[in-house]
Amino acid sequence: MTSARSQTTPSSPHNLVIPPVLHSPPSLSNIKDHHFSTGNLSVTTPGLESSASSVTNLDLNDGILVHEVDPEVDTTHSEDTTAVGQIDDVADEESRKNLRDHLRRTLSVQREKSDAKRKADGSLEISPVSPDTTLEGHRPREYFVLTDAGKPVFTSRPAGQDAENLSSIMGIVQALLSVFLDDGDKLRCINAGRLRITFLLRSPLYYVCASSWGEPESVARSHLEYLHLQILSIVTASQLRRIFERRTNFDLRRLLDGSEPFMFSLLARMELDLAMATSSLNCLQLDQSLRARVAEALVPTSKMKDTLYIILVARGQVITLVRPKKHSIHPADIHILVNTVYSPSIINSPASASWIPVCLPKFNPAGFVNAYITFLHRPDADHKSYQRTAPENNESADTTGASHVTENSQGTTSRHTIIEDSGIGLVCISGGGEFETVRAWCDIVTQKLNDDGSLDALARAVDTGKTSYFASQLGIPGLRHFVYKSRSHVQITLPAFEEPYDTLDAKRRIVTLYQIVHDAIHAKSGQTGNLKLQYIRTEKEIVMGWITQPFELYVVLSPRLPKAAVINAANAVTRWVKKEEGTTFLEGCPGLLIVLDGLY
Amino acid sequence: MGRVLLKVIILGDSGVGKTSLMNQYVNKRFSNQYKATIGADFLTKEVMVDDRLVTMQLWDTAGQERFQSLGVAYYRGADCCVLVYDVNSAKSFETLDSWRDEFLIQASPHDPENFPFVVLGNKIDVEENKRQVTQKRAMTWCQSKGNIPYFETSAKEAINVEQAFQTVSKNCTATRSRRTTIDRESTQNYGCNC
Repeated sequence: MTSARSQTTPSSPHNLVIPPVLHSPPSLSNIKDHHFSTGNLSVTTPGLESSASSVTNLDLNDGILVHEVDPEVDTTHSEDTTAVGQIDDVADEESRKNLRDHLRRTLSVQREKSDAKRKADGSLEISPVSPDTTLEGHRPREYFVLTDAGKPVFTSRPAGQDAENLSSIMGIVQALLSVFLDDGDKLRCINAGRLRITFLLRSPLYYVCASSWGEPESVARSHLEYLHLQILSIVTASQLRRIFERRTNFDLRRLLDGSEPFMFSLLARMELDLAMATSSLNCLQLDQSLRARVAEALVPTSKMKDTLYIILVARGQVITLVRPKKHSIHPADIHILVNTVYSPSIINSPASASWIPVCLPKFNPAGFVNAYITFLHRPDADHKSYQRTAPENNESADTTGASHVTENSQGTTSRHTIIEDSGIGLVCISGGGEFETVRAWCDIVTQKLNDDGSLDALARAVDTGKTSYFASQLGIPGLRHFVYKSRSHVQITLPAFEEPYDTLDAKRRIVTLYQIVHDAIHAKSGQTGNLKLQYIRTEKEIVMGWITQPFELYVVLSPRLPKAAVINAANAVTRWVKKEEGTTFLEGCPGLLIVLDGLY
Repeated sequence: MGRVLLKVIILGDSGVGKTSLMNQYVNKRFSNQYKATIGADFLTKEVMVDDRLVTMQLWDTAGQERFQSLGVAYYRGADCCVLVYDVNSAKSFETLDSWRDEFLIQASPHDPENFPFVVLGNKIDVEENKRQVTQKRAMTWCQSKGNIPYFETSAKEAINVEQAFQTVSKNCTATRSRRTTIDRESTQNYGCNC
């Protein structure tokens, strides 16, 4: 992107054909294979043998969540085939080819280089996490959303800043993507030194992420995918399609006006949320009997015919959820929903409840459902911040790994804040407009939970930090942190971050390392072979990933530990999780009693 | 909400002065040197339209056949199309029809009949006896295509350039507001579609 860099005055021309210095991604040659293999709606990812075999053994109807390995397997994915322009104009095809060939020539030169580098590295590309990467700190990632006409939709940049430069960026992005689209091809990413610019095409919208954190391409892509889902939750896929069929030059900001806080909180959440990163759910750690008691209370009456899901949340984590029998909920829908619930406009609302139309894109990208959101328990001002009531270790603990305030050099702190409220939220998703019924029912439930003391017990657990734990509590020598994913539950459990991962920068670094191992173990970046065990050693720690039929485990250990000890530690963690399974994972929660015909 | 972005595509034969017009309008500069545009360039300019600040994104395209590399994706979502010819070249005027068609095919706007075009007859600074296309002829053509606004310009001497682009930005926003009511209707579509 030389033209973008060298541009000092906003009005100087952007010559689009001066070939920019592009570093092609090593996986560029796989572009097409990737795209066309994801067109189906199956819950497994082709090429991931171990996961495919485990999924077939699962009774999905009994599971709470839809098992999803690859976030790119998307119901809305099929739509973007329309973005591939048909070259029906043969007359000037020749001349268009000139430009593309030119671009490609530049790309192929770089490709040879990076191919060579890959061979030297072996199958696992850990080059992005050289220690010096981490010393520099983490420049905030930048995100852009634009329409396929090049009109800005969203930017992570603070409002009013560089408005003119922004329209230039949008123009350049649209032009770059166009060159390849007109050829029936897709630009996936541009590597420019440490900076990687990743593109996701979800016609009629284009998504861009610029990051120098060293995370795998698949991570930036999944961020963009989530951003897309969040936008769909506000406008629905079919509405989006209809609008742009009528008017290709539509300015989508007119519809999304006021929804930026949802996007900002999502971006902040994604930075450290390992549940989102592993396409799973992280439920609140809770006493099994208490969880069961609460779940029973949440089963709706037969009058609530249109009720789809009932979800109880605290600290941005699910306590329990009620869903129709034989129907699983997609983790991505829950993440979008939780992000919506915890957005400032909802959680800070002085109203006792909110009733908002929301689209759950994995459930039905074509329509809205209504969400009734109310907070049952509002903590006292003293208990607002979890940090103050953290358990024994008085490190500034972080229960979910998702909740945090990002501080960054550009002073956008307030925009990237996740509200860390220990309030307990009740969310009732209804396919219909039965507002009064839902409200009356929620009032009854609240009363019931109050009367039998479950709400108090819940609030106490949340307020005193009993809903989280630390790696040190496991008593495993050298163990610093871990993420355990139960593949049949599609849920993870992880301890709160503690020393030396208690600073924001350290958390970002360790999350990035997790993401690299996760990417490698699932061969998401076109790595050859499916290795069941991945081991990275940096100057500061050892990170190991291990995938088996029932679980995925990622452990972080002291760098001085010998390999045998690492394996022992991993085994010890799995044993511990097995023991704690009851409090950690949400087991077959009660289904809705009514059969919801026609919904699925 | 951010500032409105207007996407304007400038089309016409090679050498009619598309780049010069754009440069004159945005940078208030003119150069006698001719440099073929390869692919496309764009410039942005902030303008006031009806007391509102908007960003105009002007796409300068290659007129030369061999550099034409623009496809559907570039034209998509344009708010206005500026057709340029050289008043001293009858051929450049006669190809306006095909440029207009090309645009309508590629951009395929929803309402092609009412899509805003503006026609510019450039290089009126050249001596009168070299002129090949009369103002009357040009205006007749514009009228036949649904009353396209017509301006005679000189990028070199900055004649009518400002006025022409002012009309471009006005026409863009006029179509925008006219259609707002339709959008409102089409977007109120709540309820479960399942």
